[in-house]
Amino acid sequence: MNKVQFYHPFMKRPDVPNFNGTSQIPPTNIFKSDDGYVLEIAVPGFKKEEIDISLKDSKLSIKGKSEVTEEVEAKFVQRGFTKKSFDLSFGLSEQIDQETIDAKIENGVLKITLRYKAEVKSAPKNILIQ
Amino acid sequence: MRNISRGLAPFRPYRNLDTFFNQGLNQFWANDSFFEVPAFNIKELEDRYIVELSAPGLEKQDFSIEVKDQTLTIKVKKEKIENAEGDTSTGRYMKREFGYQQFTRSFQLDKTISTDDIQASYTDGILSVTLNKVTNAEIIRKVEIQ
Repeated sequence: MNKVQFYHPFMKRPDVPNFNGTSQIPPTNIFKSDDGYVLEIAVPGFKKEEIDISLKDSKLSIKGKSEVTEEVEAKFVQRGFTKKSFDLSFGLSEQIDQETIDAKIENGVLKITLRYKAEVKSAPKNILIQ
Repeated sequence: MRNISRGLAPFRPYRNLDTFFNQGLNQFWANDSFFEVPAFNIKELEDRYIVELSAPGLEKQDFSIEVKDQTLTIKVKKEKIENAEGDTSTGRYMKREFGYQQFTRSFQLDKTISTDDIQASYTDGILSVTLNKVTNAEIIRKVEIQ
């Protein structure tokens, strides 16, 4: 995952997407708890039907398709953001239970819950005697 | 008075400085979510303007919108700050690239915009504010009174 980077203000940080329309990657929050992870992806303007989530070979792919339905007569006085198609993917570790992944979209935020496998949670820790 | 043809413009009392800060510095800091204020669009249609603010993850009640002295102010203060799993979770964010809790954005309205009938809606993380243009009849009537 993310490496620690030296912060240099004169260089752009390529890993942080933004809202100003130049990025194809939607901003993402990753939340970690005892039960697993929650991914929060900012997808303002997207409807449930426009998002496609699939899982193959432990790779979780999230695709957003933006169908341009611009009012013909509208003129942009200022354009700060646009709804753009995107394609994101996350590699899942073996600890994640691929059967219990669920997703919902609410107020422009896509929330994907990834849970640890039951045996991972309850597995006793082996302590080696030296 | 501002140029009428502009109709609707973001409120920028210190224009030159503001341009520098908005374009110069914002480009500079563009990738820093720290300094981020929500991006907005202003669309002009024949009879109205639509201001759109990209602000995912909020609730309708977090917004307060007011018009005073021809200035439209959109304020956001998140009432309930909670993490991805609700208040009780002990987890933490490993990576955080968005999440507005508080911001204010103002727009200067000139006299071609009616302040009586302003509608707002929040759908799919986008706040849309519709401002109607003053119809010609109203302007003509005002001229006649004088």
